[in-house]
Amino acid sequence: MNDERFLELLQESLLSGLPPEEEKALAEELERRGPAGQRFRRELEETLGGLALDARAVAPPDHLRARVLAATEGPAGQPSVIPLPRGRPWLPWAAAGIAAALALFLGVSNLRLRDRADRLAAEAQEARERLAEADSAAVRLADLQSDFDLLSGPGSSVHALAGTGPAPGARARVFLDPLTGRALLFAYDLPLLQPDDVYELWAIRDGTPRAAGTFRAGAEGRARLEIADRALLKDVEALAVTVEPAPGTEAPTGDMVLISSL
Amino acid sequence: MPANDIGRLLRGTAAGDRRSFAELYDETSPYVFGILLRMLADREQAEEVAQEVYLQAWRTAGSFDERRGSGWTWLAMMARSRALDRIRADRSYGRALDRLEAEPATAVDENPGPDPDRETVLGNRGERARAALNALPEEQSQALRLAFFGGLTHREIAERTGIPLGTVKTRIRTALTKLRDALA
Repeated sequence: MNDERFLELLQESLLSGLPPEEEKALAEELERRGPAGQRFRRELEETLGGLALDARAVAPPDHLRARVLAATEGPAGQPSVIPLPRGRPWLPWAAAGIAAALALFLGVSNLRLRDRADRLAAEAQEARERLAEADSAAVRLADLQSDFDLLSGPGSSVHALAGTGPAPGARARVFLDPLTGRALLFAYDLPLLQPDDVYELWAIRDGTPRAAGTFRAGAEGRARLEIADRALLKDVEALAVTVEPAPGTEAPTGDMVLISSL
Repeated sequence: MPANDIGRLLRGTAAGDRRSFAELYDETSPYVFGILLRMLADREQAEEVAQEVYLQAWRTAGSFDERRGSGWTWLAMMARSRALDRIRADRSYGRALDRLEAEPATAVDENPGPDPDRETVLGNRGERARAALNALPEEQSQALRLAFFGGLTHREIAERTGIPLGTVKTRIRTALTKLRDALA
């Protein structure tokens, strides 16, 4: 390789690199030329080092120094990993700040909204319960008013039933209002029944008992029954209450607990 | 600072001496940053690459061998190599080349480097380099600057300037020879 070719390859290698085969040829030529070739290479490299100073010095920003020196906090020769800023260095911080503030705002707002929604839901549930209680109370009041009207009606009649058999202390009253045709039974001190049993009212006419309705007594032994088929009470001879298997029977089969004679 | 002090600082850095590394940064970063600004024509990218260069220096200072070259050349060539990696994969490449051609002796005036009254080896050497380049015929200095700061191959310079490849090679070789003599 002549000097001109050697210089051509050397300058191109240092400035922009060579294809692998030419780099190999250059390396072999440097080896062949020995210290003189290495010295020439060094002189050319130092010239490029000087050429680099054609660019005027410019002071880098202080934050760059801080970042670079922070890299030496790790073990010698192994710098700590420092995130390299991309684009505008303040932008990630600004974006992170905005995102954090927005997240905080949204989080607080979300918590407030959720808390308010929970409270509104609880208040709505409470209102529904109170409304249901009011409706129930209104129904009960209407029933009581209706019952009172029946009991206080000028043509109303009352018929007493007395306890018998297993319930000697029981008693009942049947109220009839000929003007409205309504009939109500109120019973007291009835024994508790087995879960599968009910009390059944019988209207007896011509010696034949007819089922007039079933009912259960409350914990205090009280019961109320409105007799739906009012015709059953027409020309009735007697009323009786027996204990029957639920949901009731066509003819009395169990113990009689109440009996009246009209 | 004597020229060989950069080598001393690199040796200290190789030994894990953070004070040597900090001093190396303080002494050389204005020049390294100037090179990167010249090549990248983008201050933000220059900052990024400068950080990469010094991290690489901290990590690989042990590979520096004074018998093969000066500390400054070792660092400057490293900076150039990292900048070339960046601009070859970045849109700023064309912008940097345009700038090199339009302002071959461009200087960045903002944030000037070391106090001009403070004489440094690198500063003095830079003055000599610029004087030598300015003394060259413009076609020679332009070809050399395109090759060094633009990272163009001889063939790419020929294609870009419309000058025969052989002429480009000759101009660059001549410019390097004159510059070597001026800096010797």
